Amino acid sequence: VTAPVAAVGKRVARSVALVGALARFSFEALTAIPWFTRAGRRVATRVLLKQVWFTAVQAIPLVLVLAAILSFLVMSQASRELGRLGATELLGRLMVVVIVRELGPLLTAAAIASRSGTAIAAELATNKVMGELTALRAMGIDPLHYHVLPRLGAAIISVLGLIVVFDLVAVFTGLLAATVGGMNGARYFSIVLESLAFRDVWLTVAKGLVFGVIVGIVPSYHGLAIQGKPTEVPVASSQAVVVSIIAIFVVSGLFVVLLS
Amino acid sequence: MSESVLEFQDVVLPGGGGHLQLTVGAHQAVSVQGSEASGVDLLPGYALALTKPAAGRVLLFGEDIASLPERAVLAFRRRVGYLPAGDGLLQNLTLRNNVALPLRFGSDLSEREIRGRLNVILAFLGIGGVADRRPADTTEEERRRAGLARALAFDPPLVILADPFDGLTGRAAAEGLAGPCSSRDSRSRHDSNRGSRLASAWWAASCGPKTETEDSTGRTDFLVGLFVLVTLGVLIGALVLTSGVLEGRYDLYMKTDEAEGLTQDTRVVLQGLSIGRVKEISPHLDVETNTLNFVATLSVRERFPDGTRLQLPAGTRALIAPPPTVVGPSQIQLVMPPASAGVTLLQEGDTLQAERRASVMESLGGIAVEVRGQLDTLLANTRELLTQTTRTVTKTGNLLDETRPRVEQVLARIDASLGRTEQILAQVEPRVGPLSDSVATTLANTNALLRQLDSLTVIGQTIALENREDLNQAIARLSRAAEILQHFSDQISRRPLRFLTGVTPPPDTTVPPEQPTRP
Repeated sequence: VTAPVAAVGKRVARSVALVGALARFSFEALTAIPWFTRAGRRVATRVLLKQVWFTAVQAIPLVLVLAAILSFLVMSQASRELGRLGATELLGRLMVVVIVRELGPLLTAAAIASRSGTAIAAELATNKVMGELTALRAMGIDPLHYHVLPRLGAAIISVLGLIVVFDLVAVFTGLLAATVGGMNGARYFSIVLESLAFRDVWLTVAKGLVFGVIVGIVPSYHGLAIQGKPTEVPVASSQAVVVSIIAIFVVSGLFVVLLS
Repeated sequence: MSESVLEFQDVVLPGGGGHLQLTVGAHQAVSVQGSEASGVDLLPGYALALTKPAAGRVLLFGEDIASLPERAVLAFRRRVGYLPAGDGLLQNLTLRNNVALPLRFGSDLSEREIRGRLNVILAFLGIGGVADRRPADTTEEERRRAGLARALAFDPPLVILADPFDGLTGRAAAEGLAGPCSSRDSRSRHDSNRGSRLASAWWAASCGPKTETEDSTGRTDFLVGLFVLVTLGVLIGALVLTSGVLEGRYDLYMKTDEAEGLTQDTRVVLQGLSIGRVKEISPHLDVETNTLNFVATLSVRERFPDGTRLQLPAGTRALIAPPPTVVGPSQIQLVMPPASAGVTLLQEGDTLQAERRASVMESLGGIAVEVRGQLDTLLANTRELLTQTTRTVTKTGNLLDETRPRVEQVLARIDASLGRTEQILAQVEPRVGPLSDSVATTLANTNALLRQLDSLTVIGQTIALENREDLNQAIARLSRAAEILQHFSDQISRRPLRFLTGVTPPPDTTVPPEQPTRP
């Protein structure tokens, strides 16, 4: 009789332990920043630029497609339904709140977590299996400096940048949808810009930063947390993606609850 | 004796190798050999504090680094060139970048100096041709050479090589150690089979897989920089534009009893033109009157979009009103007073008293209440009419029932009187003939009239009896109509929006669909 309860308890305890481990890992990574040598910063910057290339620039087509399809679907339906009520002015608020502020950051972060989170976790796990991390430590290079912090920085820059790309594409695709629905383009831009408030922009930026931290930290942790067996690499990758996406959705919910 | 750079003091080897006492002095090369089970392979890890021995201690440059914090240990390790038992190369870097890594991370050399040193050491170890390939695209010997180059590249005061000559020809090993370690003794193993593999590696350099060049790195840097700059520019632009820093604004306050419909960012409009937003809403409890008020801070533009100064007169009123659509957020409409000479202007920090304009729903609610009142009156009148009609029909029926016997009795009497009058007239006819004729005619007419009256009475009674059912049905229909009106009235008074969406009739009043009949 107690077995199911114990199973639930075990799962909860594991989740709490994971949150604690992630927090500790994040703290270690942040406290490692002041220990960067000048030369180390130069190398880490180069790694960071490379990671931005992989994580952001190469992911632009994916984000373009996602943003265009989502925005067109939402705005074409909304313009039709709101037009019946004579409330097309609400299209601006809908675009800003639903697409720019909520779905844009959420979907972008989820897409990047799926795409690059897997890569980060798999790469770091493979490095560990191949003994590269030991080699780095033996050379006096902290893996947090060489691997984790550049990836964390790149994830933050990439998620934030791709959210901007997502929002821009969504707004322009919304123009297309609204025009197809019979709305004047200038009027569409007028109501969208009218609805865009400072609070919407900084909330989007804040989400980008937090989601970037999640996309950078969670896969790095899972990649480095393996014992060193090759069979752990795919497990670490899938766990990294699952935990990242759950964390992104939970944090998105917290933003709505705490700041709306 | 020279100063020691590495010292093992009573270090216990797990393979039963006993306690190790070993000192490596400056400019000295020491080779430690043992069987696979002796634990000799653990010594590099102990020396670099990657693992801790079960007993004893290791001094690196005179310091027991195992007892130091991890960050301090890293600084010590950066002074040691280390070649692990494998090659220890990072798979995502080219051989050149692998060799450059300790130089870039652990020295203050400029990139130009690093490149110069790299070219020398790569050429020296014979891997200059494959230096821009990743480890997976090179041979085992090339990887070992690269590992050795990495250990020696920054000219460390101490070099630790685990299985140093695995994968190297004797010539390569001798060449590798001849330069940076020229003053040290070396011991190497010779493998004559490696020569042919080296030759094939040189051949692969000219037509091998694509390598990473500086051009591609430059293009990547450019695109990444472009991406970062563009997105950062858009973000900063959006933040600046929406913050209102670029347009002059001033704050007005609006006092209201109710905060319903007011949020941060509620728009402030002047005759339909948006001129500001609500910045903040603060509740204020008046302890004297024990009432709660709200003060909204309105951030209002100083100028119209065309640059004209926006000046609000002192009597400007603030109306909290919904937009002209059914759904949507409230907005604050500023209404200026009629123009008058010498009126003062609103200044920053002035307070407006808010009024609330009825929303569309509230207006619909008012209409619904009015319609309901009229419907109720109509219903009352209809019911009264029904009652009166019913009463009149009943009275008419009763009257007809009561009157018929009397009329018949009167008619019988008149008929008898006429018979007698006829006889009298026959007796006096010779004398009053003409008069008799006229009286007879009058009597005949009277008789006919009476018979018509009799038949009319019969018809009236028949109508009252035969049509009673129809009258009852008409009354029932009127009553049903009254119920539907009552239902409609209830529905719209509860939800005025049903004026627009329609009201579902009560179920017992709907007309059932016709059932198909079989022939």
